[in-house]
Amino acid sequence: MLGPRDMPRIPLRILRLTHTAFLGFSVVTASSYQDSMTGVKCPVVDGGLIMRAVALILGWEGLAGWGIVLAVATLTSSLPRLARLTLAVIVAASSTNLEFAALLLSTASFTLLILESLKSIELGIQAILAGVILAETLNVAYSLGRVAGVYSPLTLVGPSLHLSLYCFTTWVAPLIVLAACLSPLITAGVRLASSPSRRLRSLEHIVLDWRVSITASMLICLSHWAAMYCSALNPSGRLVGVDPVTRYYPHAIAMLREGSLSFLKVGHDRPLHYLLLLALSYLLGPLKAVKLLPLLCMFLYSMAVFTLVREFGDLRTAGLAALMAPLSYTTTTGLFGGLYSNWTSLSLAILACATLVRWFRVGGYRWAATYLLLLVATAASHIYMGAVAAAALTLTLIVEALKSRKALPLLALQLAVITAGLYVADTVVSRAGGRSPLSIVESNVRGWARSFGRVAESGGIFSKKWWNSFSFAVYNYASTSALEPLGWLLTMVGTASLGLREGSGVKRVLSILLISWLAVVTVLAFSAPFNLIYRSLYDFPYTVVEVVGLAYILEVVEEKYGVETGRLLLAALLMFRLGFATSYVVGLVA
Amino acid sequence: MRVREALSLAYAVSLAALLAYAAGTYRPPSWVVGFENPVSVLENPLSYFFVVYRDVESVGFFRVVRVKLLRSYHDPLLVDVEVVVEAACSGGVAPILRLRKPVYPGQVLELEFQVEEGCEAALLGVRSVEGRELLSLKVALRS
Repeated sequence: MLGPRDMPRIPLRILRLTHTAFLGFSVVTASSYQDSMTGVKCPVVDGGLIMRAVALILGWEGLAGWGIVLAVATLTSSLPRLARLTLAVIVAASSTNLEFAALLLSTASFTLLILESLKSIELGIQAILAGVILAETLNVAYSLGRVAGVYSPLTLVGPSLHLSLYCFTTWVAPLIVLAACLSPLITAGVRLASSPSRRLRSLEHIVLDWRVSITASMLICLSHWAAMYCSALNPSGRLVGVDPVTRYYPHAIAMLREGSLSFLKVGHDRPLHYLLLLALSYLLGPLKAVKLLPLLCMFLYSMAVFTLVREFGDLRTAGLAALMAPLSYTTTTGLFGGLYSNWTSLSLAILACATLVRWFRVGGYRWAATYLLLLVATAASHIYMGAVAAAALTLTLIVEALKSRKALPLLALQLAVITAGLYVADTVVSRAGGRSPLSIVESNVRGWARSFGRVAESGGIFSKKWWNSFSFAVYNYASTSALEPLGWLLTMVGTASLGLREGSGVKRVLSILLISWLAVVTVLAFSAPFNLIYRSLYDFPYTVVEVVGLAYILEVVEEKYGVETGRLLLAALLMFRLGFATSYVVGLVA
Repeated sequence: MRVREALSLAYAVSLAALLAYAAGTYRPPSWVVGFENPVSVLENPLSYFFVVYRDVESVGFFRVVRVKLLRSYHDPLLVDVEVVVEAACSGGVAPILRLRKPVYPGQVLELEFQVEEGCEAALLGVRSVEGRELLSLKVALRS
């Protein structure tokens, strides 16, 4: 870096920032150029599942811009003058032959990065992170431009830069999902190998104020919703997603026609959510009611995640979780499939977990009753989701009851409520003419048993047939939503790092809860019938574990490379996920 | 302590073996892995389509033409396009193909059509549904 003596008038910080950002952007562009030269294509959703090519097309003006960016990065670098001069000459020389210019610029970018990293690895990492942030800013601007119907040619490179950041991981996406699913096994290994020593450290100095995070989260929810229903991409206001067209809208009309108790018959496996849909349909009309559901789901999910994380972390970490919620697999898949009942049920289950954790902390009938009420609401909003959450929560209470007597009465009460609830629901729904919940549970169990038999017959898990089904679930169901690698990687790190956390009181309960929940989901997903694998994968509060993983990674990075790198890493991760989620929603509507 | 260490080592080895086995049995679906001919970085980014592949092959009395067009990222709201292919023969121009379909940014449009052997060229035009010309290409059929 140039010292104050070299350039006394330019503040050192601005110089350093410029250097880092320009070098990073140049490197990300170089990487995208390399991908573009291989002609690689990746699956994305845009009007449907398509293969999109990474095509970095700059024209001579763009190429000149790249040259200027790299020249500035070179001249402001900390290399010896001779090295700087040599690189600057290379950049300048590239203008003599435009065909080779990009290749030279690309090589010079990587060379500069390597030289800088050899001097300071921290600077190299910061540069890449800054580059990701700038690239994703362009990508988000491009996507928002599509929504608004106006766009700037300056943002044209955004999608290619974004795609090249993760394109090659799409080939191994099922493996990444598998690793995330198997992460409870890693937790057990970590627990066995080392004694838990880490507390969940406060991220106050890295993360934004929780009010800012919550506001940003709400704005992202609103912009996703606006992209769907108030944008240039959907001028006619057609319904977006699978279930809104095939299920919710026709069912809302049917309920309005058949009268107020029809929610028990039409929505026999999700009566509470259908009651909400019916009420909204009375108030706003069926079309507006169905259009409002995704916004409610996004808000409820963000709020639920915030509430649960607040129970074991500080306010800023909870705010970060709320900010990550609308960027998660839960949101993108929920919007694609229109899985509004599942999503609402998942949010209620998360709230139930928060009240359970609170009960473990403060005790009292009030929290126990609220917990049981929320558990019932979870099952009443979506019976299958409710069953998965109830299984995970029951498992947690059993493990806790083995350690302390405190959990025993609640466990007994929970089992009684589940039994009584099923009986009452069965009677009421059957009388209303709907399919009884018990028969749904029975048919699901039968379906799973058949599927389990088929998996065993065809060579078990990891056989060719099993991989075909699993890969189809990852790539095709909820078209490409599962291809965002960060969510799965953070889930894996988060779950594994639970083994390192000091396990006492509330935090132990939460660890047991999350690990047993993921274990239940994994068993179900690995043995599910072909069309239900992705639905099984959907039934887990990924965002909660993701924030635990992110906290762990930030701790490690901060310890090794300093706070500034930690901040940049957080910003880069969030921007990448924002870029993915925004492109996904736009592609869904296009 | 030693027992615990041995156990954890055995567990780690078993887990690593399981994950390695899983990774070894995985094959990505063929359609997920794809490459196209690259487009020059120097092309005009404000063009709508780029020709990434063209090939003419003689099959019997016909020439089979295969063309791949890459939709650029420019003007992403323009999605629905009309492709018109005509054969330029000695007797004049004859229509061969007309199709209308959505093509999204970054997507490759693959076309295959056959032209009678006597014709000199295939004229390929891509237009917006309003009739704006987005690409005009002449494929010579005689070498």
